[in-house]
Amino acid sequence: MKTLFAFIRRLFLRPSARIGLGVLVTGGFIAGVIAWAGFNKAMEATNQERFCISCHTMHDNLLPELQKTVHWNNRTGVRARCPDCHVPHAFTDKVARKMQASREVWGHLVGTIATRDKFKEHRIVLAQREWARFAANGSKECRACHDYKDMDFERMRPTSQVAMRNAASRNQSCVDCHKGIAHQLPDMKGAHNPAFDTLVSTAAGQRVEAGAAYFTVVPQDLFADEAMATRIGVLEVAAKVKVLETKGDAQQVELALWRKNKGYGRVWYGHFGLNITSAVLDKAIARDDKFVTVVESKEDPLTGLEWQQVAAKAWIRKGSLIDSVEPIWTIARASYSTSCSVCHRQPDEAHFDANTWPGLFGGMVGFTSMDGDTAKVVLKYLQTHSSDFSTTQHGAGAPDTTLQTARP
Amino acid sequence: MTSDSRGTAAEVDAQAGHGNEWTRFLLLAFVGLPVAMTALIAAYGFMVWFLQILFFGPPS
Repeated sequence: MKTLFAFIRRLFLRPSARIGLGVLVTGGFIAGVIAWAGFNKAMEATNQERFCISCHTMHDNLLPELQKTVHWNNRTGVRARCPDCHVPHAFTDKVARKMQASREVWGHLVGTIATRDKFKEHRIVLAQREWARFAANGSKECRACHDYKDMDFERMRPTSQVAMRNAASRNQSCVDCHKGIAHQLPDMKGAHNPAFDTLVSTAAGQRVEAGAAYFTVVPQDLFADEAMATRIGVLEVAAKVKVLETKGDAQQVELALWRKNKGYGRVWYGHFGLNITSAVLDKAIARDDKFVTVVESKEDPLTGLEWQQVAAKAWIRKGSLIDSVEPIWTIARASYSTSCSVCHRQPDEAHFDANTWPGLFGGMVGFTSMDGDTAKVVLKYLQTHSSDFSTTQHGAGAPDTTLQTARP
Repeated sequence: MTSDSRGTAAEVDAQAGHGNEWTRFLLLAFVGLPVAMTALIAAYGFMVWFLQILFFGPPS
């Protein structure tokens, strides 16, 4: 070690005896130019698509996905390559990202995502890492090509204009809304909202009395018999039921709901004239007079459809009911305000009526990361807090509703 | 060989290692320093990355 230091000291401090100063400086200059050019060349080589997809994980999983999108092939012939989006363009961040790739090299060596299945399973982790990066830098890489200041909002579709003008005014990060723009989205269906766990455990400890009304905390299978052998349909989340009796693991409940007297009449709703689904029965049972009792029939003046108030008794698994619907709405409200406000100011629940919400919600839910159960709860929450149920603001009896109906 | 550092050219030459000055110059300029530069940049990259993990979060 000591000799090494002495060597370096001599190398740097002892003046050259045989080589002229000019030659040394010129030689050092040339060596510097070559070294820097070489470094940049290497940096560029690792920043090329060819380099990225030389790895089979990238080549087999991500390339085919990108090839289906507009970022691969479009009418203008401008094309995004892997590093355009995934490697920062500024020097410091770029170098840091390149070093960060040592983790990817390690992943490659141990085979974290070596197969398609492993990749799909792990994808949510990778996606969230990349989403966090885009959220932090305001989707800087996207905006190298698509910047708000260069957008002509007038030439967008009217629906896009609203969203894009708002986003521009907030200087919103692109990937907040445009997730899955170049690759498939991670599978969120299997994802599970942990908020439901508390509800399910509350329901498991709920004291249930015969004759009282309760609400389902998660969708439940409906059975014809107490042995729960014959499945006859599904009871949706937050559906109101009256408990008749409890036998072993099964609970007999009474459904008092509405249906449209059309087709099989399989879908049962909570209220007259409103498409708020409470239960979906199997075809075989829906028109069975022994099972279904029609209490009364009424025509909906808006659609001209005949609605029937129906009653039925069925069995469900014990431990899935709670006595108040509010805890369910608390979860739904939280989910609604976090998921929807990502891209736009979420409308007031009572801004639309119960029959308008499903269409709106169905069109938007794909942009969120809600899993299936959460989406159902949120929709139901919106419907049951819609203008049909609200007496404030936009609700029935509110001033603007009066003005609306007063128009010719 | 004298103890005086300002000796004749031949003496200095002898001390420096018998005329391998060119070898050392070329090795330093074209191998040693480029390697050192790459190592330093890599170290810088790692440092920034670790700081991002620990304190800064992803670059903004």
